[in-house]
Amino acid sequence: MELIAIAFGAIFVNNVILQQFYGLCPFLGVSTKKSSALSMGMAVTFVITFSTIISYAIYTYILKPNDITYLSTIVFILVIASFVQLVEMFIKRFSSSLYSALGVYLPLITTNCAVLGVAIDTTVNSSKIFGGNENPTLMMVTIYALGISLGYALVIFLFSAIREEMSAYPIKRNWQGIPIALITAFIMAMIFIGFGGIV
Amino acid sequence: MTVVIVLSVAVSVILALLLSFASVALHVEEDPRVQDIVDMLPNQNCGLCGNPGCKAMAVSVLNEDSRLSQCKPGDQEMRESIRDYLNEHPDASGEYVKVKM
Repeated sequence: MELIAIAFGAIFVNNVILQQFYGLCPFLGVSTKKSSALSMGMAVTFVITFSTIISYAIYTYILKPNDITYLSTIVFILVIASFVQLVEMFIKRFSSSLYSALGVYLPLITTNCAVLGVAIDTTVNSSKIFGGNENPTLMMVTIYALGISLGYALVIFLFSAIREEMSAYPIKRNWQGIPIALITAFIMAMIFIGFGGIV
Repeated sequence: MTVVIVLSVAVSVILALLLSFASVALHVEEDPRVQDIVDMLPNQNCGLCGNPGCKAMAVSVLNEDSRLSQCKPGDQEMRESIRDYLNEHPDASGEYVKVKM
């Protein structure tokens, strides 16, 4: 039951884009086409889930017992950068069209604050996320990371579907592109506040 | 202090091994001229040419989409060396790139 609450909270209530406002750069950058938005969501899901599990293991078993938690940021970034590099090689090898569609936003996952945000939230700030629990289990952390990244993928996909649909309608010239996209994101964020009432 | 050194060395070595293994396993054949042109460009990745980074600029030059003068930090010497290089190196099927200055 607790795990379901964590997953629901991570996907909807504390949605990484629309409630915490992390990772807005690819949210606006790669959301013009549904297919590239979906693959971006999958790439981010992979990076967030695995880098969080490894960051959690390093933090719990090495950094915390030895009292060197001041190293967490630099170690987490190292892990994240390596995973992004791995994803980049993988996508370049198996789909060069996807590689060019994602373009510069793919290496930019390294600096996507959603990834570092989840890694730090589940370790250093874990009491804030898990309701005062200073020592979350691996299962809780994995579910939380998976939930956050699925929330990211869900929102970027919904947003790209809306933008794709919207491009067929006449919009005043000075509202085209980013301005109308930001209004859309604002309305979506307002709707997502409603999920806060469920928990 | 020892723990810090051991940890940083261990983490870096493990990740480096992982990435070097992946770069062999996931190797992609690409035009060998791309890397040579990247080496000749200024490598500031400023984006003033309108391409995202120097590597994209090199690919764009090979596709005859960009002019070399779009590269703002580059000087006349760089443009001539890239032109001479491309005039000497055709692609795999023997076709030369028409360099736009």
